[in-house]
Amino acid sequence: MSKLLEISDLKITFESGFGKVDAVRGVNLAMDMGDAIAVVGASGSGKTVLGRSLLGLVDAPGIVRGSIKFGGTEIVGKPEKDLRDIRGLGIGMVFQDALDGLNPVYSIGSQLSEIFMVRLGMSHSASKARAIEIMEQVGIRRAAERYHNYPHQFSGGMRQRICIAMAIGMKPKILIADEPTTALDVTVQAGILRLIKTLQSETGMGLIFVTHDLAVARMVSTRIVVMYAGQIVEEGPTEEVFRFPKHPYTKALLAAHPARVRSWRDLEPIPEAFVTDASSGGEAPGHSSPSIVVTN
Amino acid sequence: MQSTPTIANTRIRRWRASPKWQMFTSSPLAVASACWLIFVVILAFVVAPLVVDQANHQTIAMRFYAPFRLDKGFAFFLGADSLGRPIMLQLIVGARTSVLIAIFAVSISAAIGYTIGVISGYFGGWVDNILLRLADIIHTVPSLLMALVVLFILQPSIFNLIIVLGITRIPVYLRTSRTQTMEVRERMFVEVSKAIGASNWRIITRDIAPLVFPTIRTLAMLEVSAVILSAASLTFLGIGLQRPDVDWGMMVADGRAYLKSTWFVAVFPGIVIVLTALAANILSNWLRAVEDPAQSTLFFRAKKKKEIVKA
Amino acid sequence: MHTYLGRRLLSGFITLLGVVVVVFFMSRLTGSPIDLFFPEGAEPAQIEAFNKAYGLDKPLVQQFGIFLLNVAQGDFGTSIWQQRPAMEAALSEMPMTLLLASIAMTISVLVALLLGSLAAVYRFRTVDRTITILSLMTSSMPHFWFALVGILIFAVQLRVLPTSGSNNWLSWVLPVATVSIGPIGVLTQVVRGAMIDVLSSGYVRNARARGFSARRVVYRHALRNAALPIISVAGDIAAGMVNGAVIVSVVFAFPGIGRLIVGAILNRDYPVLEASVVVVGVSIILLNLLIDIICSIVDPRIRLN
Repeated sequence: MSKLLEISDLKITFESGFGKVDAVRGVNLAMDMGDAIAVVGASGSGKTVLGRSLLGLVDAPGIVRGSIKFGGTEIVGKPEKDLRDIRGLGIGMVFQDALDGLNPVYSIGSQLSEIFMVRLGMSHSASKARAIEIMEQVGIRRAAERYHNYPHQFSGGMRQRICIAMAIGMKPKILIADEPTTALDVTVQAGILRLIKTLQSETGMGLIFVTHDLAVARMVSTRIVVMYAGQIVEEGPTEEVFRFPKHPYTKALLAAHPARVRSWRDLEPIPEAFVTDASSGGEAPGHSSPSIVVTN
Repeated sequence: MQSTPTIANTRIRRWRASPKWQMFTSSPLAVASACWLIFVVILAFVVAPLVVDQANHQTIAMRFYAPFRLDKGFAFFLGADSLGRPIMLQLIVGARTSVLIAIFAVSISAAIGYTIGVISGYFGGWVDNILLRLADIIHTVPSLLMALVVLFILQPSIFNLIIVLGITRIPVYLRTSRTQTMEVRERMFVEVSKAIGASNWRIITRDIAPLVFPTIRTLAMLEVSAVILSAASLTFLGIGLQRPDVDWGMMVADGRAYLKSTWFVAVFPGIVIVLTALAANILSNWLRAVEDPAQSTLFFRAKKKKEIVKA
Repeated sequence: MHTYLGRRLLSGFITLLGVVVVVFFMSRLTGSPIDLFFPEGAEPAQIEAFNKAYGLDKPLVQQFGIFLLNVAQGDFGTSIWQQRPAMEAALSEMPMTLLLASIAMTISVLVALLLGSLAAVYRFRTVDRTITILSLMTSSMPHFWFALVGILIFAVQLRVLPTSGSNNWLSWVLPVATVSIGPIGVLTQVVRGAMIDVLSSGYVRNARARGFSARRVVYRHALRNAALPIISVAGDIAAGMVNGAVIVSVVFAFPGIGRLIVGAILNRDYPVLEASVVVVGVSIILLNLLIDIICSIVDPRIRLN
């Protein structure tokens, strides 16, 4: 029985006049309905590009090679027209910037109902009703009144809830959340995470949660995938990886977390060169950049 | 051991290698535009004084002499107008007029607009209100109309044309530098300067003005083409200049009556106007591309497959 | 909202007052119309009668006082050149110019939206380069030049369009084209820049992620945001169109305020000149007000503040 999502040997490179960058270098991943996977890594590890590629949103000069199978159909190399069937309907995505993610000149109600009218062919009144229903589902009170409001009239947390509503509106089988809480206050963050988890348990959809925040990853996922320099360096059930990390990078990540040490002097930063270098990952790089920096 | 290069050589070599120069030389459009403008300037200042007399010399016998023939000499290569004056030489003298007007009008309006704009934006209050109101008054009446009315009073001359065009275009610079000054004024480093007790004059000249200057410089380049076109329009309407002062616009007006038969009298000056304005536009586009490469289309280096192999 | 409008109107009124004052003093400080109407050696009595009839014999300040009083009643005096009330002359010519400008503005905006979007969507490709070069060229062409070339090609060589007049719709083609060509160039670049920004925004990316078609994303989601900057330059564009209308008036013998003003200048007709400038000034001020209102309608962020 094939899995819902199967990624095999995925390679994504960006070639421009300035040179070649290997963003993703051979990733293998599989998931089913109901799975909650956290993809963890620092900036430049390739996690965001990975998420985008699942919807075919990697544009030139990016080149996607390998295989992504969603429900048995191959996504890599699919023409734009066919990709639209998957976007929103099969896989939904929530991005980091909620204000920029909503069109400022249309009311959020019309943006929501547009999805139902255009993509599901529902009537105007049916779309409006569904939009209000879904707004309530993501926790927006007095939804019927606020239907006509514009994005700038909502707070950051509310806007992100609206974006989530837009992503799950068509009841996709997988939800990809690309750092949805990074731009929000910590207090608001908890509400959003709770919402995502509730939605997942209600609908049974798969969840891919991309983040650089280990604490969030731990809260949200049952499985965790650690990415470094475009490759998966460790994978496994969340608690196991947290308690018994095997890869030196995972260990370094955990060790750098402020919550785990007693004094700032004990924090161990990971040098930038680690993640932007294009040399083969896995072991410490063989060139001049130092291995894990010792605390001062 | 080689002799050490002089300072000038090093400077030239460094300039040659700088990205700006690279971008310039790799774009044929920018190079062509710059060459044309330099050519016009040379014609205006070096050649014009030499040919003025012959340019204004009327010969009835040479009326509407057709172009593209060399038998009457190089001067008549582009033909002659209704009074037998050689068009080529007229164009050269006209170049001097246009270049003078462009340089001085733009300098005046930019200098005044920039200064007043920065002062107005920095101090605010009633000073700002009055200056803004004045700029509004000038700005409300479309520039051509304003220039027409003003030149109505003054005697037609190159000097007056420069003054008029200089004044009517001040509001653009004033508004831009004022807005930018107000924005820069709120920035942290200005507060720092104030906190350490710098005088207003110092803050304006050292902190604020240098940031506003590049915008004004880019604007001025754009305005060069606009001023050339405005001057041509005014002289075309018969206002602002009188013979023997020549301007390209005036030449087009002269040739307008004979469009059907001797088209070249009006067309050649027109082409020259368009080429010059276009060259100025392209160069100002290039300046903006240098500052913000993302927006440039014309100067974008084609994607060559440079195989930069990383280890 | 109403206080805002009220304030803007007042502000516009003050500006207008300034314009009127400036025009008055400028036109009086020049040569008087006497030289034009009377040949050399005319009788002093005739000249005096003329001066008296037009109030030119009183001291300048007094003239200004009388002038203001009259203006407050809408009376700009009688045209020296045309023997009818100056304001009537100005108001009779303005509608044509407004019509010309409105048509040209509509066409310019529509064409610019189309070309600018194309240039942005196919950025850096041939389409974009062509459009950008074309818009640069149109921005470098003086109105009169475009008009003359148009006449040369279409009226003289091809004989499809008339060279002057305004009777049938064909005679509108060249004038409208002349007035719109400059703005098309400028607005295309504005739309292109705005569209490039918008196409890289989060909400456009989201729209794609929801599976909307490319056409829908561009026309419904992107375009409306890219059109906003047009409104802020519309005021300057409109002023430029009046300039163009003046040239068109002259070159095509097209009716409008342009040929009235040029005539008034050549004939030293102060009343008509003052009246015309005021009429144009009022139009521009009202237009800017209109633009502000449109701005607040189209962009909800401004409206709800």
